[in-house]
Amino acid sequence: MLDVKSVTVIYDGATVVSDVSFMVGDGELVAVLGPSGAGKSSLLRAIAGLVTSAAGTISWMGSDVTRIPAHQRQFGLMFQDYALFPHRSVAGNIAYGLEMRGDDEEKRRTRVCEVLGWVGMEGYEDRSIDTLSGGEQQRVALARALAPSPRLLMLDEPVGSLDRALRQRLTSELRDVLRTHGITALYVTHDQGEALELADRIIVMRDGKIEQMGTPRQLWEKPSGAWVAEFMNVGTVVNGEGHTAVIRRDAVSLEGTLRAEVIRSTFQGTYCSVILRLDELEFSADLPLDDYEVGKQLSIALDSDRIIELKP
Amino acid sequence: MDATRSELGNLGRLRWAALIPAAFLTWFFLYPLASILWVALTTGERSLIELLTVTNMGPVLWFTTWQAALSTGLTLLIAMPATYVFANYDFRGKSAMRVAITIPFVLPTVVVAAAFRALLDPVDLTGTIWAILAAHVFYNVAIVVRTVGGFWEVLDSRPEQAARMLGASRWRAFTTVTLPILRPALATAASLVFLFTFTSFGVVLLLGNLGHATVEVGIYRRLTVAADFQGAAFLSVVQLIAVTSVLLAYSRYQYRGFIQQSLVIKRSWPAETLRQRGIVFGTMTVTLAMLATPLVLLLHRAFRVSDGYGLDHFVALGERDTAFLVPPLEAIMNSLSFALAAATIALVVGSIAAATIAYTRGKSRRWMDTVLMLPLGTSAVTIGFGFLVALDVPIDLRTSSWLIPIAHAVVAVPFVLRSILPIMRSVRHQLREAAAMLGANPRQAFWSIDVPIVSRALMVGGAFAFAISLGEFGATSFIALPDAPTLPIAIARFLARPSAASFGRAMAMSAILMVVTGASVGLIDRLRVGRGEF
Repeated sequence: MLDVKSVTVIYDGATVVSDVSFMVGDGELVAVLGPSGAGKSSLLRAIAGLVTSAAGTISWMGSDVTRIPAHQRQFGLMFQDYALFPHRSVAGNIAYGLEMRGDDEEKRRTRVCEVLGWVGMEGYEDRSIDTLSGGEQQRVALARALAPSPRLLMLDEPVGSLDRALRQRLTSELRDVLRTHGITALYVTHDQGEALELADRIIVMRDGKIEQMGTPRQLWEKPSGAWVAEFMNVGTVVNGEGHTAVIRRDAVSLEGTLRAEVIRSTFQGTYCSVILRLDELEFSADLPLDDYEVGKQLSIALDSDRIIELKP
Repeated sequence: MDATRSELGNLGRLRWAALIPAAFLTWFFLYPLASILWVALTTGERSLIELLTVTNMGPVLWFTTWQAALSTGLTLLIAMPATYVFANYDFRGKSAMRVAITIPFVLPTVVVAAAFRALLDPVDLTGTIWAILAAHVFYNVAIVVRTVGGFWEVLDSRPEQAARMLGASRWRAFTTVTLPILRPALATAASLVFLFTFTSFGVVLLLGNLGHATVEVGIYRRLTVAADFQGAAFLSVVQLIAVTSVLLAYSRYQYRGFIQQSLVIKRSWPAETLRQRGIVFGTMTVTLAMLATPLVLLLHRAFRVSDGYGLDHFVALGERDTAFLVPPLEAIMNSLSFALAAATIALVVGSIAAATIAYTRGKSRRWMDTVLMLPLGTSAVTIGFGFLVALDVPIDLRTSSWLIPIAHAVVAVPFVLRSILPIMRSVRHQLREAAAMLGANPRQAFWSIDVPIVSRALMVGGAFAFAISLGEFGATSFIALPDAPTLPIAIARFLARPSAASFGRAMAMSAILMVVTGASVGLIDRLRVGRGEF
């Protein structure tokens, strides 16, 4: 169990992570979500031991590891652009952590074979790194990080540099591998879709601070503020008479007494994303597939359970 | 975040080891240079006007400059088609062609001079300015193709496409978009070619006539013809100032020309239409013919004997000759052992210096980086002359057989440094972090990540130094002892004599030097190609 208490990271005089505390339970998959510059990677590097935190403690199973150097923490880190060793083969990369641990050759070979199997790359042992595609490199990087059985695996935007289709496929593969092997993981991403798909719990960060923490469902149903609601793409934030609320995208149903006008409609495959105007109020809604012509008047109802009052 | 880096800095007490390159450089480079300055300023009673007159300064500087400018212009012009084809087309044998184009550049100047003697003697052009210009173009084409082509090859082709979409013709798109973007690369190549031809020594000495004197040749003649140390020193100082200015201009352009290589876009595609194929085939054929002819003629003359072809000239190398105290064959052995020694010295000095620069922080590293590159901007002639003037104190090294390897090492150190340092730096900080995350302590990370990646570069640097030493002519011509000539010195002596037998032997020795140099350069290229990324 990872316990991060009041960690602060300062880079060149600027506070990039400020008083952050959270826990990660065994086997839990936690995503750190935030826009770029939110301090996610710095937080990860502090936990890894690659940067020294200016304040706070990091402990594992109750023992303080804050002063332990990176190579002795037994944490794994999968780097954003993989940092594969160019002078070593696929097997050489994966076996590296095992060599450092002192495993004999037989043991290393077995383990390399095993983790290559986990990521679906059997038989790639002798390939050289520069012959691999981006997706293959990503898998090798994952296998390399997993091979020495780290107590905690951290992933820094692990699919960030790949194209969209591949990103989606690898994200779900990644989830399967992590789930199947019960790996405790901390996953940094700026993509809320990825976080929703992968994580048991999401930590939303902004400007070096934690904005909100919770399960994907909690974040969706009870965003802590306008910023989180908008960043998570929950719905439209509206202000009026001292109140702030978010109209969730699923708050609108097509049978009711309110008259709303279609401002814009986008086809999304299984539903339509529509912007509606009701009196002076414009908001977006996900509606069943239909032909929503601009200017068309719809009869709608708003589900008050799905309009969430936010703290101002 | 620099925990790993500073720990590496303490590795092997690098700070103390840094004294080795510092001492080497001070003793064998800065001290000789200072001695030249001293000689220029203090000896003799002559006034500045007298010195300017006796050294023929005005005409010499004028000739040096215009021949360099003309050589540079001609080189750019002649290299352009091949550069364009390399950057924009994929074709069979491209990598072989690239190597072929590079060969002239790595050939020793005496071999180039010998090849052009073989080419131009029959048409009576030896001793003319055309011989000098042709040889200069011959061995500098590679600089343009490699520098400009290398930049062009990874240039984003979308701006040109955008220009085309906005209505520019192919030619307009080239002149208004591509050419301006290429300008820093062109300027880099041009200033390099200018620098090399401005400091040209062997080609001018061996292919020109007495009226052709670059500053380098002027220094040599002042010394050998008039035994005028002060005059030679005076010329050296002028040369130093001129070269430094060119180098400063070069480094400015080089800085601007820096591009982020991380985003490599594939620009070149196979030639498809008949016209494109014609361009590729025509350009490559003409370029290859131009570069190959002198070398083929060199080989032809090396094997040509009165009744057909044979090994007579090679066999004759074993015989004692009137011009030498030793059989010419010994020159080969001398050259090989000097080259081995020079490579060893240059590697030790260069790798310690590179490690200091790459792994430590602080003032010393910047100082080292700058000072170690200085020999690159100093002509070999100046280095040789400096050795002659300075190295009798504190120990008289001038009759030691170590003198030549040391001089060659001074010339080679910048090249060794430049082949190791980028690789040492390229071992990205992130790779060490990755190693740390996998449980490697800083020492383990150094041995398992840095060392294997760098060792290849060490071999490249060593082979470089070996090849440079084998072909070095400028410095050696000042310091070679009469009973221990190197191959280039022996070739130059044979070339200077009018007899047909001497000419044949010069050709035979040039052929040997060409093959040995080619082999070590081949080794360099092989070691490099294996690692695409580096």
